[in-house]
Amino acid sequence: MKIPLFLDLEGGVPLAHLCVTFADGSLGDPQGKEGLTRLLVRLIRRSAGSRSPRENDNYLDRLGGSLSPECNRSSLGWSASVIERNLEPMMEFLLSMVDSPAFHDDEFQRLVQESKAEWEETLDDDSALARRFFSQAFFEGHDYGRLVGGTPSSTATVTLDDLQARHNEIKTQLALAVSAAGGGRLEQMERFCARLNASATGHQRSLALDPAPGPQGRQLLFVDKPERSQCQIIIGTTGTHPHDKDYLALHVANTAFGGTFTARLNEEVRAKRGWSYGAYSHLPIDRSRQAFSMWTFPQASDALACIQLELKLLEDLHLNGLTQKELKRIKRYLTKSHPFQVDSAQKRVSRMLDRWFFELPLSFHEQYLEQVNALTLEEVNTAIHHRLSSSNQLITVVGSQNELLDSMRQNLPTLTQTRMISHLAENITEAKYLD
Amino acid sequence: MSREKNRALIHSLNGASQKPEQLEFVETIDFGTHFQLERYRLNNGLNILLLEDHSAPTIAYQTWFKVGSRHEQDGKTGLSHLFEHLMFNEMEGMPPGEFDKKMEAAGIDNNASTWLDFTQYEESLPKGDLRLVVKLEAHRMGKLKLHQPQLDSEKEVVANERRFRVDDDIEGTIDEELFKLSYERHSYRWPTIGWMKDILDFQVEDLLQFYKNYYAPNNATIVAVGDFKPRQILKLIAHEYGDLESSTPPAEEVEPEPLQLHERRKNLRLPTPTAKVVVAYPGPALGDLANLHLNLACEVLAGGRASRLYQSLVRESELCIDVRADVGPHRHPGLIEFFLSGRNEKEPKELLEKFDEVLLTFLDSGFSAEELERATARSELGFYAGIESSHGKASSIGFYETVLEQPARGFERVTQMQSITPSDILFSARRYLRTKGRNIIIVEPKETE
Repeated sequence: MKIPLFLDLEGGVPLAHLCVTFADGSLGDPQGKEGLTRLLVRLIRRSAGSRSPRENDNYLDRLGGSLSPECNRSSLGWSASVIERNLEPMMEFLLSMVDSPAFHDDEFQRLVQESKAEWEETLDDDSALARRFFSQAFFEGHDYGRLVGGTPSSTATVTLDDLQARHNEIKTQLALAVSAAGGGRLEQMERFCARLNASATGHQRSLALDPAPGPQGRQLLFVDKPERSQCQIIIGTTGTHPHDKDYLALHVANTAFGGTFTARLNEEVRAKRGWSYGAYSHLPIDRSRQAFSMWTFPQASDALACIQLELKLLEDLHLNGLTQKELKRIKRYLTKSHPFQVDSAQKRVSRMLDRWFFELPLSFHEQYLEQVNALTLEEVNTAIHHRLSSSNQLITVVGSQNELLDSMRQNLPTLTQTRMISHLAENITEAKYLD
Repeated sequence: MSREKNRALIHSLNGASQKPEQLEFVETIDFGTHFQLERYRLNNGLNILLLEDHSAPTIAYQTWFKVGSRHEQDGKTGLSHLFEHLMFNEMEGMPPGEFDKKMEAAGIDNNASTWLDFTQYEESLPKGDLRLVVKLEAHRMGKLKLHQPQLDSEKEVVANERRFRVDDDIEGTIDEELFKLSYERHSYRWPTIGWMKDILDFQVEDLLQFYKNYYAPNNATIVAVGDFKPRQILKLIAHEYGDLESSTPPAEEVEPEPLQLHERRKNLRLPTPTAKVVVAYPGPALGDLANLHLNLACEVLAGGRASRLYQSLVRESELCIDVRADVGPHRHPGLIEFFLSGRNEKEPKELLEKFDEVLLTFLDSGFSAEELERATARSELGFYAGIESSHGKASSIGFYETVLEQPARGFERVTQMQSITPSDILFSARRYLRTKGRNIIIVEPKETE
């Protein structure tokens, strides 16, 4: 088995980028030990080559390098950037991470405590709070509802033995890839892969994952945080997956509806009413269907009206779809802006990696423009109608409860469930039902 | 391009025009070892900086104005930033929203930003759409329409931006309080976004006067980086901007900040779970060599996890979850800021005591060559990472040109760093990091439940 190697070594600046990526992530955390995999990739970064964290940090800094541990739901790895003249020592460092990490208990305990402190830091960030509670509630009961970084309670249950066991599981995997951009030579990269390959002798992790059911009915989750002058609002319904036949149609629909500055959502919320500094919709992808969501952050006194408007816009989109004019405009936008998808070595390599990771056909990127331009209005609107729901939605609001919650309960149409939770809560199970 | 070729190009472009000599070639400037910048000037004073880079079929086109919140007055704060928003609104022959629609239809990504010393507008465009961008940018430099309804709507947007970035944001609040505390006279004391009352009070007349004063070709620099031919872009620029009239921007009435002889402190209670301490020292302006010395000092002290403050406050004493340091990159003297983010129940007093201990050791005993090597390499990496894309190169060129009139200063700083000695750094650090003249913001958590 040869490790896939994705390369684009064109670059006008003396920098090189190198990533080692495994097709395994926090979804592999055992129940109740959420955050384990993230702790593992961070610990390995610190203890590479059995050196102390300070020695490693000092060494990397002196190379003019940065090395970030990366852990997502479905992937993990390390991403390095380095001044090109020091690419070889950076490669050696990466190999020492994979080959000989150390598992010192004191560093592990320190990491757990730091994760707890970082959790506290995020309590200051209202948009991060909105995203976290939205994700926990939207995917409640599904693996996607478990947090990549875990919670202070879940990381407190992780032991060093757990980490070593998880490391053994990951290190022998065949499902890893190397991507390099901007600097270096082909032979250098092939040598690097050959040395990595020596330890990858185990199993291939399955990418299959049960789909998440998504919210049933229209649900409101109010995250109470005192003294807010604004609300952070995320409204979502089930989205799509790159293997869906109508994925591209929905991608086009999302871009037209809320993916650009002049799209319908921003036009109505910001340009016409000045209610929110930004108003955008998102359609992320992963191994299983993610949420389609709208994000706004109006002044508290405009929050109810803003939600009502967004629901109306979504209902209208679901019912009537895009117009021919919107479709034409967005096709032109996607076609004309396409050079920016591939205007750097890093972006080009990242697309190759995505294709490998999501097991996509070559045509996914190669024929992207052709396929976008071939879409008919009927195909796009059928995808909207089929995939998005105007009745099954989760509305997450981070704001100050004493001002808003009652009026939202009274005035939001057809709410089937209302819950309230403190912004300090770790788990969605702590939410109180108000129905 | 050689100087002779440039002159021939200018001659042919001026000759092709029916108007008097419009374009002047000014100079060629090295931008690192791979690239060269060409400077041209239109007869109305428009400054043009071009860098050809054919690695991708895209172009970064930016317009930098020498006006920022530094140029505002008490009671009219936030005008530059609000005006930036209105530059996307109505123009002669183009109703509100049309500008962005035209840009998006061409696949162009556009944005803008305002800070203390500048306002800039940027487009990333596919190479075939240069004509549209040059035309639209020239159009809004000369033909913007300002009406009360659009102003009222945009004031609401900006007020919401302020709530998002400052009022509901702990670090935004701290930053605003810090500058208010640190400057008594200089116009850096108010936030770029402005005070809420000022934002809501603006009238169309304020904006019209501002537009007339500052949005003129002789107060602007066009920076283009990417896949174009100089002849093509210069011809377009001369055609679209050639008729715009220059202005006489008002003389700046910025007062220098008096020497600070005593420490100032402000205590805040905010809805945050942990203590925060910010310590800021009046520092040197960007153009001062000491600014570079202090950047390296900040790297030694707080740059990355091997730095002294990180090791002491985060790893050893576990007082903090994070430490950061920054030297203000401004035309006038800025601040050298240290941000300490506390951990668990730790008291701000403990954070400050440990910070002082580390800083005093640094000032008393200096640091190793290895630490300097680390600081220099980190700075080099940061600079190169910032200029990898055409957009990054254009931003660096526009920023240094607008603030210092030295478009390649970013590269020069990287080169200059290689010859800086520990003694240089220590001298500047001892000069500026003085306990008596510093400003401190202390944030204690307010009980929220």
